[in-house]
Amino acid sequence: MRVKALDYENPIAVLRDIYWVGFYDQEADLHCNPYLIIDDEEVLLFDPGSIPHFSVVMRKVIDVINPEEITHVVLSHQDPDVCGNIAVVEDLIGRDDLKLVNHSSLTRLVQHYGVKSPFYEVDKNGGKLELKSGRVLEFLHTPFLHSPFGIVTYDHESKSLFSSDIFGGLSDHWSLFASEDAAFESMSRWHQLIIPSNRVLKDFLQKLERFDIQRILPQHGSILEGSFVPRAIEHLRNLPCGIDLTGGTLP
Amino acid sequence: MKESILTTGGRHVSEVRDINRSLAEKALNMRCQAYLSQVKANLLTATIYGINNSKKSLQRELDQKTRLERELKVANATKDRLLSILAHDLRSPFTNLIGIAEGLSKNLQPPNLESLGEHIGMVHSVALSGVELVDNLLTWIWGLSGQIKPQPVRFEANKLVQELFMLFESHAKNKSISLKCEMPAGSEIQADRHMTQTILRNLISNGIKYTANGEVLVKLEERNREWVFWVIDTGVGIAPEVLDRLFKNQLVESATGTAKEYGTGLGLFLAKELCESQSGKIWVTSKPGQGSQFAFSLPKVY
Repeated sequence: MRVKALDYENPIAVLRDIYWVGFYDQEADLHCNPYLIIDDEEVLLFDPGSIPHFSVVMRKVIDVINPEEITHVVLSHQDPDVCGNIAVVEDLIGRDDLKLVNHSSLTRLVQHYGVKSPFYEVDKNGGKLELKSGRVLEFLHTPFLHSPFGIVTYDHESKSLFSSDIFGGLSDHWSLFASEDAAFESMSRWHQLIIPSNRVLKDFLQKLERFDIQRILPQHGSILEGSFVPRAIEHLRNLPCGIDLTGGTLP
Repeated sequence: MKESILTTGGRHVSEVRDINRSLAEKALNMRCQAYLSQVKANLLTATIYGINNSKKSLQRELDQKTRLERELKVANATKDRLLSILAHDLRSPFTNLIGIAEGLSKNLQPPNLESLGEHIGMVHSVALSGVELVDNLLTWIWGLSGQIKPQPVRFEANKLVQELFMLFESHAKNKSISLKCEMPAGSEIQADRHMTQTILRNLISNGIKYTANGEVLVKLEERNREWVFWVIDTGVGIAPEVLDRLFKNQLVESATGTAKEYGTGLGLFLAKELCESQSGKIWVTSKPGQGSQFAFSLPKVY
């Protein structure tokens, strides 16, 4: 479908207003997937990554916009590879009115990164964030999948799900967009490692049913679009995870 | 040819783009390092500040502990000294009295009345020193319990000195010492009478103790802001090394008097404490063989 090979040294437009600004080290097989949503007056940065990724991620951000235009940083959960660089990113953005968007249970942990900006705690704001343009982002708390303090974000306008570690994958040959069935295999390995049981996955997938999801953008692994979305959901619905694989006890 | 220009140009564009990316990332990396260094510097500053503060409070505690230890040592030495006084010196007057009484019962025959007078003089002298010692001990113990608060009243200094002279009259006479008092007539001062009496009693008693065939003079000098009492004797004087230790807040072993009078060292120790509790000072000048000049001041502020 995509004729030209993607240059991961550049920011990559997923949609007209959604960019991948991640990091990919082919030799070390390391990658992270921060994203930008560029709205009329506001810019959201999802999960800015780790300290070693800072210069690459922010260089790509700068290629797209002026960092001072970023108004919100969404933190899906607290892991160092997801937001370990948040204090430096905050410093570079340099806005007094920058908001950190997260679940209130995460605030206590994120403070340890030395952040100064105020928190927009989604659960205290009806689970939603409405931008000035009227664009609505909706948040689901996802305890047990895998951080107790985690959230996923659904963008009603683009019908995109920013899914944190869920729908992610571990792959030897990463590509930004899932294009072959091998994506499901790497997804299986990843979920069986970090998700405690199929039961919690199923409950979560059921909660997603009310959303019309066109694409899923995970923190690790590949972006799922088109037919990959329902297939991935079906795949996870039937995937035994964590304690299911050890006969119901700890290994 | 055209193709080669395009390829070369393309390669150049690609190289310039790579260099640009690398420069941007280096700049961002420096920015990141600078930020992290700043965070570290702040942490370091806070740590150093914290260490300095705890060092200071530690030093304060250490100083206080050292001071307490020193005070405790002094207090302990003083207590030990008190015990030795109680064990030995308090017993001596009674031993002496028993000796005199035995002498009396053996030697006292009707014609020997002259010897009776002599013995009564000895009894008086021994009893006097015994009472003095008990008085000093009581005052000292009273001071130890922190109850030593001056109660100033107006009184005639001359009268006080004459009362004390009556006490010491016969002992001085036995040692051929004349007691003299030089004071402005009717000089009234305001001070704690009991304390002043105890200080003077000890200084006069010392003057008599360390003098034979001489004089003990008590003088009162009025200064702008204070009264100064002098007790000057013509006795044996004090060696320089003893002089240095006399008022150093501890009991100093007392030398034996010229007529083998015993002493406890409690007298001068008390005199200093009583002076200071009235915001006064005590000092002494002396040379061996040339007598001693003790003086103490009492401020007029009462």
